[in-house]
Amino acid sequence: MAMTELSASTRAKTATNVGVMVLAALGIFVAINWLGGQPKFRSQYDASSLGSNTLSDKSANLLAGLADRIGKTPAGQPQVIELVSFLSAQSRLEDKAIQMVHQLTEVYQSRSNGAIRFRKMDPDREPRTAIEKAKELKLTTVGYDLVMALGDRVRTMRLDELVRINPGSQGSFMGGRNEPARIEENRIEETITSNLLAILEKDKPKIYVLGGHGEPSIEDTNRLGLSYFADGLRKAGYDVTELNLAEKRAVPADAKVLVWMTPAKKCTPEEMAALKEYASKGGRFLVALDPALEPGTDASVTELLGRFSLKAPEGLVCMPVFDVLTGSVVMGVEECAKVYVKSADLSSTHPVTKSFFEQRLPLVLVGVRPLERALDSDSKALVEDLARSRKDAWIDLPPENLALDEGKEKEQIATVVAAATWSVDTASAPADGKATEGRALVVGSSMTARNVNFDSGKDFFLSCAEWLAGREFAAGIGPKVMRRDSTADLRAIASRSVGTTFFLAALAFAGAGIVVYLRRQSLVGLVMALFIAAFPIVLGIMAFTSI
Amino acid sequence: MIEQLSQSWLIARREAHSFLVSPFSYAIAGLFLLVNGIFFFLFVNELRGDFDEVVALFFSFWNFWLLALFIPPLLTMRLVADEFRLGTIEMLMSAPASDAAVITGKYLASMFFTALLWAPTLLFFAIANLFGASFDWGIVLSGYLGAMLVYGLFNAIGVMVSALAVEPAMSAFSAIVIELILFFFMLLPYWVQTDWVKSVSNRYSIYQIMSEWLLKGVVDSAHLLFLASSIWILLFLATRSLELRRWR
Repeated sequence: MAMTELSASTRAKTATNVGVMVLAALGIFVAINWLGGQPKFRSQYDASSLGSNTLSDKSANLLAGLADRIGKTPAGQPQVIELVSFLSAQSRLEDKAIQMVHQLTEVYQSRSNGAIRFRKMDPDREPRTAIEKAKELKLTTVGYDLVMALGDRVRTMRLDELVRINPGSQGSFMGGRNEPARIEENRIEETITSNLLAILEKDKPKIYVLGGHGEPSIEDTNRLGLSYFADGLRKAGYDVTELNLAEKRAVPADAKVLVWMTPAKKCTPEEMAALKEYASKGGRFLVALDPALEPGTDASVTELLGRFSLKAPEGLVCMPVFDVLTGSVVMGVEECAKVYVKSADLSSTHPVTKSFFEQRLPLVLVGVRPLERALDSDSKALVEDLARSRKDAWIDLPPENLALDEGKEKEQIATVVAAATWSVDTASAPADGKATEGRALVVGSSMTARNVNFDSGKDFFLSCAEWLAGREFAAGIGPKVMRRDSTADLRAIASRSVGTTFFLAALAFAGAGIVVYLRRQSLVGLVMALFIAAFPIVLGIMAFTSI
Repeated sequence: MIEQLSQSWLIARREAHSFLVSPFSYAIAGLFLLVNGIFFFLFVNELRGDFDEVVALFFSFWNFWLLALFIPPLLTMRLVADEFRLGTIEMLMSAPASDAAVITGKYLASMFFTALLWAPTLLFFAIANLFGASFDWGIVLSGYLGAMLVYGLFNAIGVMVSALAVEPAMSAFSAIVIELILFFFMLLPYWVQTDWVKSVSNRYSIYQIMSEWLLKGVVDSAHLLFLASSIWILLFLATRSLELRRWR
């Protein structure tokens, strides 16, 4: 009796102990998960090789200070940037692209310390809510866009601006291979950050493009015009205007950047004086030039380059082309005038080229004039080479034949993009004290900025403009180029993977039989298992030999 | 602590050995590899070279979840329940090992066998890579991490249920039912689209953690902590139930 009572009492005590311990464990479970969810203790690691889920330092820095920058409403409430996604998928790839956009937008929201509020709203699934939200944002139509709003300022981003989808192609009866549709470029961060910067600025920063000396025009929509260049800058939040110095006499005080592309005739001394005056006040120049068609026409621009401790010798940078079929080197063809600057030949530290370097993106420039440091210049500008050609390049001297003429020309590394900075004399600095440093970016090719080539030069020129305008945050975020799988042999992969599967399964089934035999000395078990394993082996052989 | 770990290690070794000499384990491995391999082939064939999507589907399509629902209960059903059924629990209990060491050891053995199951599937990715497919290996690895976490959680459920059940078959059945209920809760945000359901599932649904985070390459410390602490509490419950059964 006493033993039974003792046992019952021990059981009751054990049960109570267990109950208390379970409750305590549940408490610990809830507490550590609550703590682990707090932003202070929570961290994320981006395992993707492209860094698709990570914001660059530039965006992260912008977001860290965003709450302070946007300030408060007149009523004293903290202002919030609303990001509303009206994106809706029409295909599987679009759906994937939209997921990528939403995922990164959530990262923006989480890194903004409450300054960004993100909402998804599918106009196809929730039309009424979407229309109401669009009215609230003062949108005239409900587009399938990502919309950013801060007070009255609203910016919209289309899906094709955020993610570039290649629709793929079917091989024709003439040949060619089927290319599946795929996501080609991820421009999400680049686009959102540049729109964030644009929405923060009440007044759009002004970029003036110098005209009046035969320069390509920003109004010109033809192949050699600069209309795409201007549109690209406008989309990034700049106000782009043409400037005729002969009329204005001086560079306007509100100029953030002055663009000067390959003039075809000399400037007047008054115009040159105005340009130098602008430089001495911490002006920001983007100069791009082509090989001069007639001697002397570029005298003014080369004179200005001297102010940046640079000069542009005559000639055209050329590179040999490799014939992939024969493996031989080809010269004297038009392709030689395209300079492929490998990412390793780009500056790894300068804000303009850093992300190109990090993402291993090459820079392609067309019709490039070489640049050199002007050692004899009395300018105090500091020069940095941002992009250089390969060592098998040569400078093709007039008359240009795009071939390496032995004796006259030699293989050499040529600088094709350079950046110059100079300190501003405090006495001549603008009263607002904003420009403490003059900056110039000299690109040996204006052809890359023209409509015909702008698609390949867009990211680079945008990056140039951002750095010159003092938006280092946005300079050179660049797209993330998705991997290409067009070389994969799908048939071989499919047959080999299914063959391997059958062999592995056969191995496992045979293993079961061997274990049965070893443990129970059961020959029947072994034979049965081997019989079952024989089927996958036959299927595996068939799969392997099907190619 | 070190003594407990060495006890767990000894038990884990014993259990791992019994996995390796059981024909049932090999049969499970055969089925597992067959299903996964055939689905890998189907994804490669259907997705026409979109290898990011192949990885995403390989670790999140219904083949993955179906296997995850059935294989851990089948692996773990015998771990504790069989000891009671065969009466070998008395021997185990009289051995100089704590209840926690017994449960941890058995759980580690089930994880060892799970890792053995998954290891050959790397061959599929290696073969595809050999023939020109370019995978985002970071995402492939986080997919495997996710798979181990899902199987880790489900193995822990299996061990807990096995510690409560009288018969291995009952243990497997109960574990499958619990996992099915869990799975339906994980799919809740797809049916009930309210903000709080979405935010809770975003943090605590293993389906969401797998498909929306790990398979996009985002490894979140909060998710890892949630899954690790869930495994810990399930094993803790298993230990306590073993303790209670000892006194029954």
